[in-house]
Amino acid sequence: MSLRALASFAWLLVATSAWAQEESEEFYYEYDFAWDIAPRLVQAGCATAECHGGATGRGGFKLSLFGTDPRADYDAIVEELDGRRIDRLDPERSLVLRKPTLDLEHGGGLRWNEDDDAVRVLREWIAAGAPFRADDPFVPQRLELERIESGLQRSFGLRVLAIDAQGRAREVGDRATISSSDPDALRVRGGVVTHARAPGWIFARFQQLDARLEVPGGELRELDAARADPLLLARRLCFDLVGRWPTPEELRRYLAWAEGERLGAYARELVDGAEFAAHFARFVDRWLGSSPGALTSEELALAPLDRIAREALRGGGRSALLRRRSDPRDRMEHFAGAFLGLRLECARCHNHPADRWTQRDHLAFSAPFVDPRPDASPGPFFDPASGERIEPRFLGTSASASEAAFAEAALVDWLLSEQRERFAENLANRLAAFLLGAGLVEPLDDHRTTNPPRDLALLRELRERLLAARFEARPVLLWLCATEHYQRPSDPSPEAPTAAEGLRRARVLRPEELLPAIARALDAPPPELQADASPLARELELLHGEPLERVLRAPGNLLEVLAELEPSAERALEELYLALLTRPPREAERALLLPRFASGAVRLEVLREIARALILTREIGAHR
Amino acid sequence: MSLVTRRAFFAQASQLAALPWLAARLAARLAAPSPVSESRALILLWLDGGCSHLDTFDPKRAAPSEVRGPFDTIESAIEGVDLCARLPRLAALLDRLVLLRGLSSGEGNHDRAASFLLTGHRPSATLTSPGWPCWLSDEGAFDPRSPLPSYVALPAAPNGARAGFLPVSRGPIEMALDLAHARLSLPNLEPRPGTETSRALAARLDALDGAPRSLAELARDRFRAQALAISQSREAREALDLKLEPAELRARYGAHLAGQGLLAARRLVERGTRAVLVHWDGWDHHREIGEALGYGFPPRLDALDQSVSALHEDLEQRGLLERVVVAVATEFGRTPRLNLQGGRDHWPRASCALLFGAGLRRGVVHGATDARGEEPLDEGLAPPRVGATILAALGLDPAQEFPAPNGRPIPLIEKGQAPIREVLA
Repeated sequence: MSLRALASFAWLLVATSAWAQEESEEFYYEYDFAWDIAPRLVQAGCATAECHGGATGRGGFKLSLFGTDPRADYDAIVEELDGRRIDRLDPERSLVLRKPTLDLEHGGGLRWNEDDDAVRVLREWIAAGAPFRADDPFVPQRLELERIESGLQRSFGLRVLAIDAQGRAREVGDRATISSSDPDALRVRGGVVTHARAPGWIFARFQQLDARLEVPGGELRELDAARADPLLLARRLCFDLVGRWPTPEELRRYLAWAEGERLGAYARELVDGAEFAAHFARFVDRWLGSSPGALTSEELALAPLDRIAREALRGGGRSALLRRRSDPRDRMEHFAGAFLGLRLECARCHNHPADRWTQRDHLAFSAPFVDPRPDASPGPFFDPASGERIEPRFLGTSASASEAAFAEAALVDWLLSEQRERFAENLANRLAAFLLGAGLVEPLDDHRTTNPPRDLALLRELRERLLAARFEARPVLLWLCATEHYQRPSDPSPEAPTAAEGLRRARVLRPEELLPAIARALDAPPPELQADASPLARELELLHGEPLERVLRAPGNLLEVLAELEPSAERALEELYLALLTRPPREAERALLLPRFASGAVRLEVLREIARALILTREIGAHR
Repeated sequence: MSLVTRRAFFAQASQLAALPWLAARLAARLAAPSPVSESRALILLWLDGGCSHLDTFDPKRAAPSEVRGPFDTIESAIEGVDLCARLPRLAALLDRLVLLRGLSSGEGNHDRAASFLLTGHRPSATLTSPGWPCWLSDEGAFDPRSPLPSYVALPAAPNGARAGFLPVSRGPIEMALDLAHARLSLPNLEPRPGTETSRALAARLDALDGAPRSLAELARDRFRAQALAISQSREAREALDLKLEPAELRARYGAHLAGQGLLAARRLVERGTRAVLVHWDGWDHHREIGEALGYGFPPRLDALDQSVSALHEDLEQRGLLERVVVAVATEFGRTPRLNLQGGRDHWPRASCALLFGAGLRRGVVHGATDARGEEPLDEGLAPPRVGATILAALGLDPAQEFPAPNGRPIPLIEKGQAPIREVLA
């Protein structure tokens, strides 16, 4: 690391006075509201939606959301209430300083200490007469965010540069708002990343501009080669791919394969079976919000995802999938969420300052979904502000698409050719969620620049693989199973921020997943369950209900087979453990359970008692 | 607290606020209920489908017959205020109750209108708000000493009264009302004979399992513990058994869902449950409304009159009117003109609600509709104000904020929807 970098890092640490230093040659610095004051209010959180940036402000004081309208903010501070918010003669007495320093009661709590640089700047600005604009020709056009290496592990400084049309740069680290995609993973304090524990993103925002910086996972040591226990991996894989646990026989084969290959070999075996088809149909169901009627579940598992999309959109805007919704805006939102991974609901009512899609975009993209039959559905649409009629067009294009979506070919072609990458990325993320328990982008339908993926490189890789496999899901799933991303241990302790450590999120199996898996493990027919029961009712059902009893007493189930054929209590117990918990019993468990078999005979009643006990443990319901 | 200055407190609070999770916990702590709200409870009778205001609490004596409908009117205990003649007991009691007339919204769809009233927020595509009864439910660890659920729905809760974006543990526990056996039934409550050994073994195996628990697993543990406690608690089982009430009292409430449901609700709130919703469906009378309300076994209007008046009398005799807030509400009113099938269709511009009990004045009729029951006379009452008023009567502040999943604080009841001061004691 160079001396210069070290110097600039140190310099950044005292960035609070950076501006003053840079300008120290000038005798007098002229403050500019939009440049010096508004960004500091944004930085302190004053202009967020939950505070003064809300639609109606807070406590009678309203700022524009994220400081996007400096003129209005200036008026709110300097002109409103006859200028009572500032006191030019005695700046210290200005409300705009006394409230955030808690000299007066403030609903938003303490935002600045009296010796904060922002307080000094505001004080000097007020003393200078609280001007709106100094005569400064520098108008930033874009923002750049760079790392300054510190030489320390997992911490680095940040430089934020505002650059104008002529390419001139000014450092704005002291007034930009810096945040991270996950404060547990990447902690930022005073413009320095103090703890980088997991991959993620750093964001900087200044005036209307923003910039982001990826912190890739590769350089963070924790993630190296931490893999879950092989038996636990087999249990995880089998449940994720086919919705049950491995049979003792599968486990024995799995352990016999070479260590580096067994997971991949087992995964291939599983995805080729009929069980996978039935299980994968649920993925399609969740993806589309319903199943595309024309394909059987076996076809679904084999069909490329673009073919499924084509099938689901058969009939274009009048396809069964979209026709269920009568409002074209609902149809469009469902289409955008499922096929593009875009959440456009917010733009129905307002423009979001941090999002690309506007209310006009929303209406223009809804318009193609208007059913052209007279009075069939609402529409056409008009701009709420100007009253002007909005022409239909596909999202992000300028070409008009006059009711084109109603022609199936137009909608599908646009999706699968023009939007191919976006479609692939959306599905890559959904496939990742199918295996990892959570998407790389969450929520799944919320892909946008301000909500970047947890691991961009992985998402890109999955997308490219999906494209290369011509939208076949199975090769992509098989590839992901074999990576370290899938094989990470899960750390379920509530104190550890799981996502931050790059670990897998453990979850609790729902009763409709748990009981069929138990039935399958014990070779019993699948039980019938109450639908939509409350969590308490479901626990009672598991504790005392009929379904579990039927499984335990099903003729010819594993318990009966063991009672009949297995003379050794020790082996019977191991078999039961392998079937239900995918591991052999530990020493303490053996010591507790084996004495139940009086005189060592394997009796059905005792097996049933132990199986019931295993089913009531906490371990069985945790998917780790 | 007196030793900590306000300033120091906020300084600490703002440091904590750096961690969103802690901030949420802190907000929850600050939102901890006051002693008043801790003791008060809610019984809500929900008339699902949209009860006609003209045929119950807002009849129009002088209107033409196609508006007046099939029923006569009677004078109530409040001079100049009429009720439907089929509600004589409530009419006689009206000087002890609060009647809200002229509730008005633009929501004519059952689900949206019900959610608007029950959550106190306009339904939104991006955020499902919790129903206000959830604000009374436990959020913390389950307390084995009182295993009854804190929020019960009989037999089921409408969507708007569910947990929304809150954890599912704060939503209602649904129990069926078994009229034949006079009990609330929570299926599988009874331990299966001969399974004690397995449960004991499972507990010992869990004790050997040193694996840490995720938040999701801890949430599940809570329900497991509650299921075990409730199935082993005699007190809990007694709370569900209506046969323990004198036969005479059971008869006074009436042998129907509303009557026995409200009686069960009283038993539950007496024993520590904080909110009970009795869900009475089938009020969506698009045809032959006179038959639908005036006939049957028992006739709906008679059952409504009997059960709500019996609840009032019972709570009063037990001194529970000081502690329990009772509300009778529905999603919207019905069209003032009978349609060609003799029914009435959805009419969100005029509806009513009946309240009484803790924190409420007695004998107040607030709001009014025009001569044909079409529109409120003034600007009307927005449905969220019912929830705001009920929360205020329960000792909670409807403007209190709570963090939504994205961290954005939202008030318990939509902004600008104040409690109706005129009806609060």
